[in-house]
Amino acid sequence: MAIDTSRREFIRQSAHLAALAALGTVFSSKAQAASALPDGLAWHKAPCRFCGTGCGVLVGVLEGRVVAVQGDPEAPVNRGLLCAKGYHAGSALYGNDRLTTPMVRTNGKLREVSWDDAIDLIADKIMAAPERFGFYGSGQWTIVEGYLALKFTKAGLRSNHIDPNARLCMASAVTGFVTTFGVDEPSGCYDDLDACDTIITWGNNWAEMHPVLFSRFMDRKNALPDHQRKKMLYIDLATRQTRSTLAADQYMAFVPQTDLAIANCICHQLLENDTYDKDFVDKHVRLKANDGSDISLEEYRTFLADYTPEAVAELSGVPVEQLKYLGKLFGDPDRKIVSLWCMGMNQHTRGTWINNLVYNCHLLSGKIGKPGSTPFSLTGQPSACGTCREVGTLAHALPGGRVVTEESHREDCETHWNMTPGALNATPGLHTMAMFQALAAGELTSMWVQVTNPAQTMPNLHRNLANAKDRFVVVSDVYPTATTEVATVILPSAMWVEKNGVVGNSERRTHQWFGVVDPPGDARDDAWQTLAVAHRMYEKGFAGMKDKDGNFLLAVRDADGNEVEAWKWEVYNKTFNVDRAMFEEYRQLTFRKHKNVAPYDKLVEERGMRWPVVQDAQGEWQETKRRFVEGEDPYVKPGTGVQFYHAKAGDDRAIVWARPYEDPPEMPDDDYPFWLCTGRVLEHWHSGTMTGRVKELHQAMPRAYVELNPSDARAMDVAEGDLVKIRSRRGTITLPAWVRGRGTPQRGHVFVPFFDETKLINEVTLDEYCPISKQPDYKKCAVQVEKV
Amino acid sequence: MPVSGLIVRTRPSQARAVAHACATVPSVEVTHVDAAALVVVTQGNTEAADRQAMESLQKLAGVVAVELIYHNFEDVQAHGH
Repeated sequence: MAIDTSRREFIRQSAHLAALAALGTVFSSKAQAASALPDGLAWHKAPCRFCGTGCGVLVGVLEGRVVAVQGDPEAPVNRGLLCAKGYHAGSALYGNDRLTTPMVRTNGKLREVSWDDAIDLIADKIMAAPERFGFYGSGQWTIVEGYLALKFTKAGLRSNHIDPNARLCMASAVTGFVTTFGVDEPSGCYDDLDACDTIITWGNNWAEMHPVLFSRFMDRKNALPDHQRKKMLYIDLATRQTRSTLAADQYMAFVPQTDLAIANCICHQLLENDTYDKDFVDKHVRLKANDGSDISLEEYRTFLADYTPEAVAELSGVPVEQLKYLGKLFGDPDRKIVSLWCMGMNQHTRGTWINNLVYNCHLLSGKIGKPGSTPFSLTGQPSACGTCREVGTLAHALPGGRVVTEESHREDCETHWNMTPGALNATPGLHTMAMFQALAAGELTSMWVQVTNPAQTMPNLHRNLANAKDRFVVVSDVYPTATTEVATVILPSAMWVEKNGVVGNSERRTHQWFGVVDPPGDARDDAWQTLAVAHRMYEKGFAGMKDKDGNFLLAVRDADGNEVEAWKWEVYNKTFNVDRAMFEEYRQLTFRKHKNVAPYDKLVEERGMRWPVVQDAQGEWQETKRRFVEGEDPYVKPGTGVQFYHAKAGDDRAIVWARPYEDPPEMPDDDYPFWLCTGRVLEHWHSGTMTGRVKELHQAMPRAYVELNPSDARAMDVAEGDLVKIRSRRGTITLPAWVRGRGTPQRGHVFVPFFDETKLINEVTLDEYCPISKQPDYKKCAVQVEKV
Repeated sequence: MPVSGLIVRTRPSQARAVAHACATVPSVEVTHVDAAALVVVTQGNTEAADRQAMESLQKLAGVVAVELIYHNFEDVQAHGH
């Protein structure tokens, strides 16, 4: 599709005008209407398909195809900016090998089947043994996709064997929130990045992983005159140097796992130097020992006695001066500190503890609930918050912050879903690690995977994906992946702006979009697939798919209460907005824990709204910037200032937990002397299934590699590009060395990205997990590293 | 040939110098110079070349950050693995 010169000129002008406008909007609130661009494209809003930042994107459509993307100047998150993944956002839809037809594998061979046959087969298999079925979902599910899968499993099958890949990314953040605050999700928001003077990243490479948030802070800092700029600090607390380090005022290298000790050291200093916020602690904090018993401040001080800067320097490798500097920053009442973290703290065998401990630093210093002072858990996936955590697509959860073990929570759902009282299963189901291990062992015999790629992304693949090929595995995806390789049934799915959807980002922002192009071939929405299988089971008489009146449990109804035949594709796709109907059904469940999401029709007008969204006295829907803060959060009792109103003890206090340092389960030794860390790279989203599709972009970052420290490389006589063998107790992989790559590990460390489906680093990684969150640790295990 | 619009952020007072240095980067055109930022349009021959232009800009002396704003790939055919 060559374009002529005059068209090219219009496009060139549009590129210029869009960037010019974005330059203006960073410092002002004026927005340039995208429709004023000369490229003549129809532009439509959508949240970006990729990370948990949740940038607003405008998608440009021409003749039924997405042909352009731009940052949405009206989106408060990014104000017209994109990151480098913007190059992929549109083109990810158009790889040559998009899945377009349902397929079934028999005797190792794939054949095309009709949707009807595929639905029938799946329904039969699940009905044969519903208690041996597991649903594995995703933080990239839309809210309604997750809600329908949850209803299918928990209500339809009376089973709690549903869990998302967010177990592998955010579970420790969730348990950290719940144990500290009594409820999930951050108090603060991105506006705190605009108000702070200090950012500390805790094992987080935000320059590459949340680039637009990095830009949001850095652009502000760099625009300041010298003397003011020097007062704004970015401190990179990390186990390897990354692109983030280049922008840092201080880099503090620590031994893996010693983040636990460093956080305790900060708290030790706050008490020792008497620089903690007494008033805040008196009013808003409760102290607990690790076993859950209440303790006094004196007992807590005694607990912290060993975490002196000298002792922690010895353990962590961070020099005493730097530890004291951190203590001084937190002890300075005028400093506004935002702590940021993501996988470095969550993919951690003591992930819950380290989340608690960073909250401790902010709670003791009173740096929470004030503009610019907040501990902020960054979310990795675009809807781990909106779907997995808020809808509750977890083995122990129900929508709206509820849990299966609470009778009143189950009653809410049974009533809402018109089920017989007592119908829902009160026993938590299999979490992700347990689910895959059950599948391997044959305790589960069938699984449905939607929007994720566990055969590449689960840790210790040899163990956790063993025998998957012998089970009945349904995979809904958009491209062939390592997981479609083990599938019995492959269902081609619609992607991003090919369907309607709503997602929720890191800062509680629920964001809606309409599908604007058709999915290719016979690909269909995941939500429709779930409805279709559920209805087929209902037609076949499966009792679980009936509500207490014998009607279809997953019925979709119009405004008059009449059932819509949403399980028929032509009805779903062309005649009725199922997303709206099911979102509104879900919305009613969000009030109990004050996670009120905005009405769908309001979200249509906005670039997302942060919950709780509540109507004011004039009937206007108002979002909440900061939870638990008087004047911002409508649920805070006047006069309290800050009220942690979901505290488990009912005392409105957050908990400071006395969590100790503990060695990780596997550390380097004589046999396996190196630390292995794994993670993402800027160019590729996760397992590369979407971003690896455009061949030429793929060429820019073709294959996985191992980052080595230059001194280590020299000692092993390894030059750039030489092959290196990495072996753990679980598996081996051979990779080319990057010695002067984007990141530099410390001596005795290596880093390998996980995007490459031909180089499965997860055959090497450890599958030990935090006992509270069940989230595994991809960031540290012990390996041999040898030149081949 | 994809077309992209980017913002190049520079150290204050270095915008002009960076604008001159942009001439060394293939397929890059500076369309606006501000106090500490430039507007740049790239027209790479391929997606990879367009993307590479952003990387190259990032490496220029005086550049603090490069932000993608607009990306049009109207005339790029779909590619597979």
